[in-house]
Amino acid sequence: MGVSVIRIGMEKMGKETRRMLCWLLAICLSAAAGLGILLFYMTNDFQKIIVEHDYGTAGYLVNHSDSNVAAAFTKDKTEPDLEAGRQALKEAGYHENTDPRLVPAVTAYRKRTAVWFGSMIFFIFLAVFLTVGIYIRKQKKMIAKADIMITQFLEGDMSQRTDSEETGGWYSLFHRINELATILSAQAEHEKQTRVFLQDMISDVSHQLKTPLAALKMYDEIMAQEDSDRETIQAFSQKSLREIRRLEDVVYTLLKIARLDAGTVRMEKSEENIEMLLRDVTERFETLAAQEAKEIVLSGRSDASLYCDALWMSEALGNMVKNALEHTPRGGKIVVSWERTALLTNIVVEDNGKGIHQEDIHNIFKRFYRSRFSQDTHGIGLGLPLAKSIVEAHQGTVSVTSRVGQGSRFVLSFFNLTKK
Amino acid sequence: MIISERQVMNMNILDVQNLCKTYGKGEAEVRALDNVSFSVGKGEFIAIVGESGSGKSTLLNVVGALDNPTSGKVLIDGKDIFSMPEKKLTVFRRRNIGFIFQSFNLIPELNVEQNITFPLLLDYQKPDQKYVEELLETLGLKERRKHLPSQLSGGQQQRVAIGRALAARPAIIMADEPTGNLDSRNSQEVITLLKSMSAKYRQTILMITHNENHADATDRVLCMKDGRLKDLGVAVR
Repeated sequence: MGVSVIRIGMEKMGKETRRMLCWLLAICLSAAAGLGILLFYMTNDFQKIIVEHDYGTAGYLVNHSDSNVAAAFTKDKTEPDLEAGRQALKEAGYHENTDPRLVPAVTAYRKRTAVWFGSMIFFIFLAVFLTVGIYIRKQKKMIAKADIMITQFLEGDMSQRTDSEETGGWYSLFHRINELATILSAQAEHEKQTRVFLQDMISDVSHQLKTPLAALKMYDEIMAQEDSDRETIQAFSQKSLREIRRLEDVVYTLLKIARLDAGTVRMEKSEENIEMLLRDVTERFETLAAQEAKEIVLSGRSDASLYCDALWMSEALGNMVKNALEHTPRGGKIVVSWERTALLTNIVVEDNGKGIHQEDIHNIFKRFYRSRFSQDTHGIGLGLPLAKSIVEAHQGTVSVTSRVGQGSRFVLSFFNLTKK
Repeated sequence: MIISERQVMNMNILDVQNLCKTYGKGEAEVRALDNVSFSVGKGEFIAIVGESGSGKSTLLNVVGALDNPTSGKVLIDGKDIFSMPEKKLTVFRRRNIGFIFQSFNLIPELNVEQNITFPLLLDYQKPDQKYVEELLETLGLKERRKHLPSQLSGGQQQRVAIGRALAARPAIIMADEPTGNLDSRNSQEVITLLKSMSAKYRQTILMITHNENHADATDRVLCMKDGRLKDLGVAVR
């Protein structure tokens, strides 16, 4: 019955704890056995000492048969005394190897020492097992508490954290659990925001598509009318084409942004010469700029390079230049410069145009954001967000400083990392 | 693992509630912090701006548990830091709050790599070597990992300080004018680094700065004036 209780108790504990307790028990039993052996030798030793003492006393009596009894015990014993005593007593069967049971003093000594040893071992082991037991209980409580916390966390209370403000392995682990909890709850929040964002995006997209689609439908109806003449048809055909292009624009750009954000785009990166990249980009805008008497200037070292996907980066840079052009009046100037520092490569697009209003500055990278100060009705508001997504897909950052009426300065920063 | 749809409450990584810090009494009373309240979500990069004496350094010190408030609460990751006993607070601060100072404050006898892993060693933790390598690489310090602070420029030293703050992946990093002792080029690098680290590691950073351009790089700007806080939301001018 006692054994089964112990067995059940052992099963409840962890493997490590069980093992530790078994080792502890083994050590205790070995110690007990060791003490047993020690007792045996101590008894023998005691017997030797007693016998030698008795040899001396007996020998003295033999050699000095006329002395008083006390002298036999108090006087110093010499070698002849010992020898005489040995002779006398050995014959009687009293020597070092006599069976201890026949020598009462030795038996008494053995009993007493055994009791001392026994009690000592008992109390030490009791203390050890109690201490270990209490330690194990405390650990179990701590672990149970952490277990409850994690369970509650998983059931939805994301504010749960463990108590971890102590040093030591357990608390380090609890601290890590807390970190995990924080990250998970932040991720859950992020997902919630993503869902909200997606809903917003879907409603934006449907709104953006509704208008051109409605227009297309209308144009189609007009063109389908029996009495439509060639001129009318041509005119509305042109209008349709424009709307279709606009639709394409929105859809493709949105897809690009979505794919970038989802991380499903595979970029083909290589070391690209920045000057060449920018010349390519700004070429596209040459005619437009010339028409509107705007100047685009490039400035930077001709040997500077950037590790990037040329196609995507051109698109990002193109959008930034286009944005600058759109916000600069006739005769304005746009400067695109680049430089490489120890840590970063910066590309700067600076214009001396209208500038960005205080309220707008953190919103211009939001999709479909149309500033209420902007008179630009053509854009769909995706150019800058797309550029930002592309830059961030290259582990870069975009920042902007601007003064209303003076101009804006966009800085694209990339780390000079070694390629992997 | 199932995380239930009905989430009870999302916790901010930092919640400051009615924080007050006053010095002196009666007529000589100075209100360094006057009922300051705000919250910060995980991964936000926040700028705290204000003139000299507006209380921004005091705010950073109190929130970073380097100083005690007269009244009010600071909750970091849901824990009320001023209701903790001193010893626990020390351990908590070491694990959850990182600091970047204007004057770098590197340990002169330790090299770059050792300076970065120092807080981890203080906590008897073994540094994650892969993460340390990644940090050294991103900070551009790989070639200088065995150099002493005396062999580095100001910008490089501040980068080491940033690495040190990031190494323990604390809940919040407090940066007190991190570009104060740097020239404009190094300053731009440091701010870009902080912004990028914040995005990459979802690291929450509170930065004191008096440079408007730097404030523009952040997600949100808090303005301190005469001990009171105004959440400017986005821009600072």
